[in-house]
Amino acid sequence: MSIIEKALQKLQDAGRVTPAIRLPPPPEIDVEVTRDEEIQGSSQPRSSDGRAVTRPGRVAIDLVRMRSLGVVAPEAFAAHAEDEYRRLKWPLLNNVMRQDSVEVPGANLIMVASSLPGEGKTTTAVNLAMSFARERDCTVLLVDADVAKPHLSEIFGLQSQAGLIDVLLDDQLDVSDVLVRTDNDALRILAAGSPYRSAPELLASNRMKMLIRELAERYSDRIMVFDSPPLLETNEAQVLAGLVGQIVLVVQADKTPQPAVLEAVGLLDTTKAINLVLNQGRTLPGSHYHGGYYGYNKTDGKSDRRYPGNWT
Amino acid sequence: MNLNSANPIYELCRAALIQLRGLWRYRVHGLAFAWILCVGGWTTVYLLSDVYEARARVYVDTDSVLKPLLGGMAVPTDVIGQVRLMTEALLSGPQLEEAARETGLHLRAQSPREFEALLNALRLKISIEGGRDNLYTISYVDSDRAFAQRLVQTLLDSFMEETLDENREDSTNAERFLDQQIASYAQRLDDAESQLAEFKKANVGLMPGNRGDYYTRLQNAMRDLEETRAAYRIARNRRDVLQQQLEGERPTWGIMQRGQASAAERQLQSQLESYQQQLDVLLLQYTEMHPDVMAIREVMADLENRLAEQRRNPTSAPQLQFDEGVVTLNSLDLNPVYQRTKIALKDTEVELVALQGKLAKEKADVDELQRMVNVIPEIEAQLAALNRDYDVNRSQHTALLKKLEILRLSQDMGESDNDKFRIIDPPNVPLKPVAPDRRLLLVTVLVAGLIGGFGLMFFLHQLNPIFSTRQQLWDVVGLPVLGAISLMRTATQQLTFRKQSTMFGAGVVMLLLFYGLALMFLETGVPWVQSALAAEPAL
Repeated sequence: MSIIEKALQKLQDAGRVTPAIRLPPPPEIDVEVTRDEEIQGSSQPRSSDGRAVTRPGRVAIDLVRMRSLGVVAPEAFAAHAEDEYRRLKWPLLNNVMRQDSVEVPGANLIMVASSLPGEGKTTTAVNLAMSFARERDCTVLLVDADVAKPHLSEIFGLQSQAGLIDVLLDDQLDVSDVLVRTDNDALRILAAGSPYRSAPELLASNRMKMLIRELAERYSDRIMVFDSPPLLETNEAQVLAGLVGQIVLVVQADKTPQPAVLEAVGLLDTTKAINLVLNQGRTLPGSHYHGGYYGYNKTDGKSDRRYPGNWT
Repeated sequence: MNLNSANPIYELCRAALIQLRGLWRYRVHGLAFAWILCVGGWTTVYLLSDVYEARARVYVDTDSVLKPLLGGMAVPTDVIGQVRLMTEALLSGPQLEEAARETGLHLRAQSPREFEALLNALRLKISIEGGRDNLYTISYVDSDRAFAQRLVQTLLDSFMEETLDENREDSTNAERFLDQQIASYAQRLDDAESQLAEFKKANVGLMPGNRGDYYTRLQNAMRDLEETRAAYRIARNRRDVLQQQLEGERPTWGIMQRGQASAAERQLQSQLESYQQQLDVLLLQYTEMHPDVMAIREVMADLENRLAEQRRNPTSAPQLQFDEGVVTLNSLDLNPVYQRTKIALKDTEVELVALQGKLAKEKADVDELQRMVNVIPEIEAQLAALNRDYDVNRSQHTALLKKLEILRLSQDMGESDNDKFRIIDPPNVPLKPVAPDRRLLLVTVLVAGLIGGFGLMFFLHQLNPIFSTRQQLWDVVGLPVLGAISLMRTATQQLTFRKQSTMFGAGVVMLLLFYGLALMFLETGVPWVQSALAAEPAL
């Protein structure tokens, strides 16, 4: 963590700076960004807008930052949150393990989708991926397929990192060229890439299909988690849904209208393994789970466990 | 994935809480709606005009008032029916309209139709209750105190006048009827009297008077006649005998020259006859040998001798004018027996004449009475009938006069004490308005606003169903639910959330505060608001 970040954090704690979701400057990665078009014949692969892309290095998983963004649960509830995501992943893993039988082809391709924007796909995708990464003998590739709003990339500070779009645009570029490692060896990230106007068309294109297939074959031992755009807002999500093996549909509790969910489900191919996840649910008395509603206490960042109750 | 337990109450609570969760997302909408409703409602409450009630208690003789209305049907005995009919009676007539005009209600209307509408509203606002013991309470509510009182008073007055008029009319009618009857009976009485008088005059001789019954009279007359006849016969016989004795038609004492027998001869003759008679009588009992018989024969022989002598030698005796004016006085005439006989004869003849007259008269009487055998009883019957008529007429007449007197008396009484309709409590309008109960209304508005807000929330929730539980996801979508992730908030989000919560809480508290203010300033605020907005009093 840089000094600047530390300073910012202090200021936040002091309450003087109201943090908008203003992301700190991107973490240090060993990427040189040059706009020098005159550097010719570089052995380095170039992205579509002429940036020279070196083999990306590592990105640190900044949990504190992610906590501050609300992507990761506060410390006091880390175990609880882990528990929750664990429960989510096991059925998914099951399907992956049974891949040899005909039942779920492409089960290692898991798409995290939602009907409408802002339901928590990215959060779910990230946490799910991290949960997968904790598994033994499991490597995860987290793909930010929401190219229009690359939140995932932003969370990891990879918004200017070449990614999926670039791979799709540039025949020369390969996925392995743009994969970003993290300090967890099991977890790799494929950023969204450079902003591109016709990105949706690109994602719906044949190239994408071929890429996915290629990835599925090449990384058959890896689980690929796709953070996709909302189903009802975009078309490419639907296309992507056709390419993956498992779909995790995130539904935000007390917010997403039922018809929207039903409509989204209607768009999906029912032969896929579609699963639902209820996000941001509150507790109701008499539930079986141990859980609680928690949030941040402004002053010391400690979580504020208010309603120790049970889960629905 | 069935998480339900078998306990229904538990399920109910859970379901309710889930619903509440869904409602909660529209809490701001609900609050705003509640605010609108409350403020609007409270303003209306402030603007409502006070309404006063005028009440009056009356006594109405239900039967007599309702009977003409029902035209022959029975008056209902249950109180509710009576009250209903009484209401109709009081309100449906033209009295209401009159009362309305009199009190100036028509000034409030711009057109006849409006007036009609006002009248109808009036009918609805006048209520009549009671009915037990013929006591009714009339009440009318209006925002204008004075008007309410005036209206009820006018209504009662007009109704009272009408029943009074009816009463008066009734008794006038009755009086007129009685007068007519009395006049006719008086006429009849007069006729009867004159008839009676005529009758009496026409049959004056036949009136019972002191003579008693007719049949008695006839009997008496006949008896008298018989007596007289008998007396007459006797008298006649006596006369005849006397005459015979005097005229010597009985040759009792020898041969005599007819027509020239003197008085003496005659006397002797009669003596002889009497002795002859005596002899005849004696001879019935005794023989010739009896001394009395022998004596009488001697005397008779003597008398015969004398008679013969007399006849041979008629003495020159003075004669008296006797028959036909010539009476030859002879010795016979000087005979006292002869004289006595003559006197007797005269007396008898006189008596006879008298008796004849009497007889004739009595005969005439009897005849007359006989003649009237058929007439007098009839007349007596007629008389009896006429008398009876007269009596009957007279008694009727008297009775009618009495009735008239009673009627007049009751009428005089009735002027001051109306039987049918009496006001017991005059219309009274309390100063305190009967409505609206503003405090109650304020609370009601608050509650209604809250309910309305809640209702809106519910409505919106129903319109936009969401997922609150995994169970719902499973039930609705039908796809396997991996699990649920707890709600997480960042510091910023937390802050926002708190801010929002505080604002919401403040909104609720403000609503209650506003209610408190509205309540506190009720007394002062209402007149101010009403005068400020110059609201017209509602009818």
